[in-house]
Amino acid sequence: MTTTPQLAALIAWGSIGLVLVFALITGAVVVGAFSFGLVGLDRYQKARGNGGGGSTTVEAAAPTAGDPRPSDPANAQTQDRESLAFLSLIVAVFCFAICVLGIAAGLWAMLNKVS
Amino acid sequence: MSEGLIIIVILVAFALAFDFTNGFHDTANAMATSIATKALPPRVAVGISGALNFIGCFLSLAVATTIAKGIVNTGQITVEAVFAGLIGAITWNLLTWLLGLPSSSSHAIIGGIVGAAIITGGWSAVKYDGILSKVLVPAVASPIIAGAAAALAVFLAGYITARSRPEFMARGYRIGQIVSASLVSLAHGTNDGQKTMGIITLALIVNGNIAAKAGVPLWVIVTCAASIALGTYIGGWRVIRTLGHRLTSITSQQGFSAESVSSAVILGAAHFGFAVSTTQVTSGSVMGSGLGKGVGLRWGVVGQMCLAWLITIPVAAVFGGAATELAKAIGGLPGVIVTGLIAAAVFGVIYWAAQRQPVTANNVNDPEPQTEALAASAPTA
Repeated sequence: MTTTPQLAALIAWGSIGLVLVFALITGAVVVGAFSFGLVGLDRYQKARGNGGGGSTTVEAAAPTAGDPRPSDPANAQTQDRESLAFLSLIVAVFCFAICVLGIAAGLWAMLNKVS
Repeated sequence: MSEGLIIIVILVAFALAFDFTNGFHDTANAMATSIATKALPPRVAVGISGALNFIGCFLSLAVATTIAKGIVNTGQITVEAVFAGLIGAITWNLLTWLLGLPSSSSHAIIGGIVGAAIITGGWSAVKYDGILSKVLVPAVASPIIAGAAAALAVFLAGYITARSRPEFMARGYRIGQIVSASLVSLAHGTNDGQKTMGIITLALIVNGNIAAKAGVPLWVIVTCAASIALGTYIGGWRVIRTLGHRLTSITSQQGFSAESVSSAVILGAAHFGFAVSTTQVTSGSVMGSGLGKGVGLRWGVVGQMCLAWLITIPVAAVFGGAATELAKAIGGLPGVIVTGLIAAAVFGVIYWAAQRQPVTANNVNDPEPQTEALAASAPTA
């Protein structure tokens, strides 16, 4: 008859623990990164859409020599939106890159599994 | 043609049939949530999954040459016992498909071979410690791990995207679902395709058709890959409907989270040498995604599913044992042929029963009133 200590020895607690930690971390990181990436894209689109979009806005926002109104609130607001759009895009690209790394790691694990 | 060779040909045919039911049964694992959230049209989803299963079979050849290694005394396994085990596994796969219940094909084949081994070599032929450590513990642990990780992932995703445009997010997650579901399909091909390759290779070695240390013949790889891919493409729509619509209400965010976590658990477990069932992992993830979202689960369906998991090995063992007994009673090649014909008739009856209330690509996404009511009554749904 199998006793409790023997039973405990049969269960690969180490592997179970590793898989649990791996699943929690990978799941949270990949899903979290993808979600942040989508939020970044959403913010990017919102900023571009609300700002009237395109390079015209950037040109309009750029201070020119002898500009009598360097601190024009409308220009400053447009500049803020452009900065936010750029920042959001950077965040999105970074987060999606993490997801791509996750996929690459998955493919690597697939090709290097324990038989 | 010698008697042994004819038995091998019949065994190969049944092994490929098992591979077909494996793909057919497990299409849901990868694609149920993508189909439910309409990230992909049903036919396109099973087409992609079938193609990736096919490719997956060629990606890694770390084949387990003995499917039941550590579970039965392999010295007592004969070609006839493997044949009977396959009959047990196919019967169980078809029965659970008829009932729309996701269950493990790997456990089914293990159960079938255990039953055949008991008839061939007595109760001592089974290594009960191996069943506990290699089958039962992973069967309990893997859905819990996947469920916990999926619940956390869905909760996190909901928190991060709370102030974003829902339609934009849903579109983004649907694209993500295509990638994550594809990864599960690929992983399924590398894991499950190899099991049948192992069975056929083992039979060829036992019969002396190939050398003991020979690799898997190319024709075995190609036929197994084609068989699992075809099964996947045909699509076990009944199981897809259960995982996609009957367990819980699924949004694209839940689907993406569940599939990503499933990939992580399946690939992580394979890497760390912990054998898990793809079916149980994906089912656990889907359940966890429902709980993490606060939608809740249909516990009646969960109960049916858990019961199916619990009885997979014993019932497949009974089928496998019965097939072995019949083949032994008649004896030799006639025994194998008669048992095979009776099994084929049983498979036909199950298929006929399924056609009385068919679930197809056309009605797989029909509304499920009880699940919709569950989603409507959930505070955060």
